[in-house]
Amino acid sequence: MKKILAFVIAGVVFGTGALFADSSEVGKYEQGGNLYNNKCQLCHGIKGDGNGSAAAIFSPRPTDFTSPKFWQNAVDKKITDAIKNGKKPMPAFDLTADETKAIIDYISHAFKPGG
Amino acid sequence: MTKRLIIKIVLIVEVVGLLLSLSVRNASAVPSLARQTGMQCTACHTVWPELNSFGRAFKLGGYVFSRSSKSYEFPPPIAAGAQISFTHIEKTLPSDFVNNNWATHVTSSDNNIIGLPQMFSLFYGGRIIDKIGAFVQGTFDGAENKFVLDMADIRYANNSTLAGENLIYGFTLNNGPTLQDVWNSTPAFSFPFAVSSVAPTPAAATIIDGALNQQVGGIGAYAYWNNLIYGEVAVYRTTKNGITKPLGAGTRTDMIVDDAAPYWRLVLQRQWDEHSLSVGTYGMTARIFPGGKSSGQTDRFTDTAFDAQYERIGQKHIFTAHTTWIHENQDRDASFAIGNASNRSDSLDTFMIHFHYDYRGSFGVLGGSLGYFSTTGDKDTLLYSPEQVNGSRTGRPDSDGFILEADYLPWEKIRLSLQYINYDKFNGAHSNYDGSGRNASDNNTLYVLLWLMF
Repeated sequence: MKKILAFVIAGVVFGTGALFADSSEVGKYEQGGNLYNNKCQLCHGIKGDGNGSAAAIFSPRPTDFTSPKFWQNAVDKKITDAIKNGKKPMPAFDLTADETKAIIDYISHAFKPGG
Repeated sequence: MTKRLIIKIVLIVEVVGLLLSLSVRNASAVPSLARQTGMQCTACHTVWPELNSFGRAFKLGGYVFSRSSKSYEFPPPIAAGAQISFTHIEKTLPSDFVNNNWATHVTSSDNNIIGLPQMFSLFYGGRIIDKIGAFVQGTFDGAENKFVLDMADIRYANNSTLAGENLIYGFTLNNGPTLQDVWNSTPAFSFPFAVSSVAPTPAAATIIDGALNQQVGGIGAYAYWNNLIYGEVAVYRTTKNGITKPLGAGTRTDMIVDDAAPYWRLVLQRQWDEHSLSVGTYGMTARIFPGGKSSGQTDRFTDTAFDAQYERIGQKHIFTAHTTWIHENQDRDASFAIGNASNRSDSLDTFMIHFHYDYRGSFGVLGGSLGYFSTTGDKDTLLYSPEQVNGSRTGRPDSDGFILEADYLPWEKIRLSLQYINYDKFNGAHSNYDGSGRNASDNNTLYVLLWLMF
């Protein structure tokens, strides 16, 4: 009986933990999605293909996140640097490290080929 | 030129010089929209105030795109602008034609006028909070010597998807039909972007071509799908009273719209590489009390318009073209009944086409424009009656001519323009159009403008 009770308690504890972990992940994904829609989508597009409403006038064109080439190396650093310092014609954004991380996670999940 | 005027010019040149030096040296002394986005003026404009695709998306997005993730930013997005101008009209105007005041100086020849300033504006341009933003302009009008709420466009906008493609949708509260539009082929933001405020202008214009600005306030809903299709419906009411009254602040409401006036807009756009092409249609219908009255019978105006725009925006070379044709049906039963019109129904057609080229170099932006305009309509001897300068001897509203303009922007926030308007026909005739011996060419206007934003 004690073993069963311990098993149930352990299940509840780990299950609840997993539930919180999941909802936290979902929350961060939503945060990343919202930030992407508000800050990036205008140029990089809703599909992440660099073809947003405002993309046409820029040279070089906004980065295509659906291109396998983009994901070849140091992606986190590339995106972090671009957000923090700007990458002409893209302006620098005043975002926190958490917000930047949320955007990177969202881009990885939503647009990375095979991601 | 009086001694006081010379002193004033020197003082203003010094103030302008100080503002220019601040705007060049200090990155924070830029117009509010550039400050909010962290981008240069050229991100949104070909040459301001003409919008490119980014500027269109930014405006449709509610002016809220920002480099910050905060839903509210401090300080608020305030900016200012000033126009200083010189106008030379081919033939002397009657001495009482221009209001000579502290800001508008008429020389002894009566056909050279200095606007010092022609206008001075304060803007609230950018995010208010979260997804709500505004472009609101309060202007001191030098010729009228008064401060008015000039343009107001307050928006809520959001993004979504429809059939897997991007959808921008939103609502706009504004004080002039086409003011909210993002293409430069509709009247509110079409060429010429600035003109002399003291030179004679043709008497006839459609209601959608500026006549209802500040006279009405309205709310519209819009959607822009896949950079391809834009649709909008709006409804306007008078600013004489009620909830829309603040949108006409400072302006006398003398065109009182009865009940609600619907407005509509549809655009098809295609963007590829450096090119953008759009074709569209817009229009409105309004019942307006004649002669500034606010009750009784009304005249009914129905405007139907078509427009097109082409942009080619390269790194150094920019070429744009805009055109629009507006047809207005005027049912003037009310005006006819009180003797203000000789016909129960009239029509008016206006046409405009404009070509613009700019070169972006290390010295700034240098460009030029060529435009043609034409107004034709039914003869109505009561509506268009003889009167010195502004009247019509023939009873016809017909006017046409060319506009030639050269522009130089040494820095992003300074625009120098040299403009010449050449009239072939004015208020119905080429010669003696007003019945007082004045010819259309007597109104040809040379206009020099220094336009500053800071």
